[in-house]
Amino acid sequence: MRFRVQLSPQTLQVLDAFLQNPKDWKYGYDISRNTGLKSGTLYPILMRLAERKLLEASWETAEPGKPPRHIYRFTPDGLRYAREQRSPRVERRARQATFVGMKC
Amino acid sequence: MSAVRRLAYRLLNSVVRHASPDSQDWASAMLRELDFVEGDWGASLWALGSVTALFRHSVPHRLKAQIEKRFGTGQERVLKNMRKMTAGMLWGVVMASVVMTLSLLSLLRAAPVLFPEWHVGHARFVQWLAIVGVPEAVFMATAVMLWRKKRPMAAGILLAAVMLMAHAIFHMVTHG
Repeated sequence: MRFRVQLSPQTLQVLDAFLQNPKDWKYGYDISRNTGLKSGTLYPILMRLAERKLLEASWETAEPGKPPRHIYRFTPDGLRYAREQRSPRVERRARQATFVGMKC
Repeated sequence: MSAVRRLAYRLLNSVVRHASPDSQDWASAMLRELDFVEGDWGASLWALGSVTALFRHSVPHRLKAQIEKRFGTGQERVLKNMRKMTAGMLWGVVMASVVMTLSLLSLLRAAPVLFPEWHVGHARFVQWLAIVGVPEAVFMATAVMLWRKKRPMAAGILLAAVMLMAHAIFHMVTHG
């Protein structure tokens, strides 16, 4: 397991956004619109995922004469990790942890 | 391009130019996405968020680089040096406290004997001299002397000097 701490809801939202079409490259602004996360929240998450090699980033030159855009998608490790995190068993455990935390 | 969007673009652009090499790609990515953000206020919020994200990413990296530059790489070595520095600073603070106590006791006891005429007319002056004047002068002189050879200890002494001065100022403000 790469992350020792429990993932934040925002990180889970980002993982979900990538899981919708895992093979497709995505733009930062599109992820922001889909998840409702502001750039100040979204980019630190993307940076952390990229640092842990769960996300690959590239530059896309779609239109000639215009600057390229940064695009992102899961690495094979990232995809495996995201699916693992979103599996019902892990989610149930996370919910239980939250519930116990609230009771204490 | 509206004035608000232009301002947002300039703000983010200036941060991109000064971003550390490891965040340069991310900074450029955020700047490029700004072109696609709908609405001027949306663009300014995007720029502000991006600036925050870049600071959050850059500051720990720069701090780590500076620590490594100063103490060398290797966690153990860094920790050892930090321990050494902290111990030096603590010694500085302890020494400063001893000097202050000695100054306080000796001057307050010696002044009435050495300068009996001061006792009545200048009691307040003697007290300030003993509590603040002499210790501060000793702290400064010692810190300057030690700065090259034992910098952590000098820093500890300076810290004590600053704390003493702050305390004196606070006392003067509250008690007149």
